[in-house]
Amino acid sequence: MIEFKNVTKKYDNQVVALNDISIKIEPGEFVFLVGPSGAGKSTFIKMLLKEVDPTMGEIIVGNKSLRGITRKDVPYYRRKIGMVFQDYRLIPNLNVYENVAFAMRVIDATPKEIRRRVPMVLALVGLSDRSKSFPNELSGGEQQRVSLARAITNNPTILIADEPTGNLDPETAKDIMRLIMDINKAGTTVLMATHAKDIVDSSKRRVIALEKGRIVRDEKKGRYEFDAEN
Amino acid sequence: MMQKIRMFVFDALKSLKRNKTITVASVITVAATLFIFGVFLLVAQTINMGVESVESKVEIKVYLIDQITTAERNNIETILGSVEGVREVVYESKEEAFEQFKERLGEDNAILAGFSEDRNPLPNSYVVSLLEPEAAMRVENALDNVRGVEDVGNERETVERIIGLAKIIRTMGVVIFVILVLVSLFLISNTIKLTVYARRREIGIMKFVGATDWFIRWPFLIEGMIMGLIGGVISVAVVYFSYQLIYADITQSLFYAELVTPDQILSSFSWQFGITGIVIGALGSFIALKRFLDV
Repeated sequence: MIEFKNVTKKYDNQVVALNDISIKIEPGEFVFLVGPSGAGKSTFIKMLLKEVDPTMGEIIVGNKSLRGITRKDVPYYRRKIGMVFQDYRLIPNLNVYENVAFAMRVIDATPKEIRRRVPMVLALVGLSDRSKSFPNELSGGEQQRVSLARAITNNPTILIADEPTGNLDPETAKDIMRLIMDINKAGTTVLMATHAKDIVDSSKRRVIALEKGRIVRDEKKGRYEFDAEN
Repeated sequence: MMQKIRMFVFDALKSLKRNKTITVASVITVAATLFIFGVFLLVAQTINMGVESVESKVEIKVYLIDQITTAERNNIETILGSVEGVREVVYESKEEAFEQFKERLGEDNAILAGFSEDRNPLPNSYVVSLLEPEAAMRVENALDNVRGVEDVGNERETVERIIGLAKIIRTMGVVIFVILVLVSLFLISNTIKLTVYARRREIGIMKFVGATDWFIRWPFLIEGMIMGLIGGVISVAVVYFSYQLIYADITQSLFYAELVTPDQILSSFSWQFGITGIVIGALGSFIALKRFLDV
């Protein structure tokens, strides 16, 4: 599904964010991406979204090299990827329903499709009764559910979650993790960057650990195993 | 498609309403720019029309020697007829010239007392009226060394001055137009930048859910075009009404028939300004968005 072949990213200021990374993620896999701040997690995700291009090496997503995607085609490529962020990134003046519908409007879904699909995904994340609420009326966990609903409403093949539980208390974080696991069970490949030691250790999933731009560990049922600094 | 356009326009209107102060400021900016431009255009057009009418009235005189033969006259007529830019050639006998001169002097014709029809100092001539002042040179060249021609009375300096003036006015018009357009582009693009900035999170979200650049751009372009159009309409209205106020005064005090009429402002300025406003608005938005879309 995702393959990095000897990928190096050197920014203009000479900082080497990723150094000769090679990795393969199979379809339907669930992968934690861990590592201290500045290890290269953000660059890894940005390259997957084709926000930045590798200095050297090649990235292949779904049998297609990202190098072959022109600037014009980037939006269409991104539609295959659902994104979830630590800060939810909802549009404050749109209600829950509209926030999810927005992601569909953007990709030219018909109003009929939107009317059918949005209630479905809202039910999936357990927010059917809050569809008229605005983001500022929701708890952090609820907001993250909306953002998850938005991420999956267009049926992406890959879900990238960047610290999805970073702003949540442990109980709520567990709920969100359960949802992400469910999405993974339904066949979506999930890549989750996180600092949450408890979640990583208890999930017993594949862990790719980055440090100073290199892969220091890649274990099938891995653990967090970094000092608790983050 | 229609559905999408409706959505874009709806978004644009919503955003215009949300950023009311900024919107009003931009519209006023465009209106002011186009108003200044309109005033300038009026002045330029009036001068231009004047110049054109002077240009079309330019004529030169070909003076003939008194002992001219018919063959020589015929020859000169043929030559004049073949020069490019000559509109009309009229023969003026020395008697006619004398009468006209007397008439032009009016009450002062007493100075002609010593002269009469038979003691007439004026020569026979051809009055050559031209389509364009530049033809004067050609006439002069064509008649160089032709027998029977005494002299070509060429008001070259006047002609050249007219041509020069017309050129300066036209160049100035273009320069001022370009400067004013750049100023309004700058102002509109800054305005749109503010609304884009206010919505940068939204744009970011659009980008990561896979919106195309044009999908993001359209509402802002429409926003800019609406502002430009409103600005254009306001400026035309202001130019029209203020011109109408002074038009009567000008035509009365200036004995000068060829002025742009107020109706011409409505018939030609209105759509020109509307389109200019729309183009400026769209371009301004486009420029403003450039940086935000490069992600």
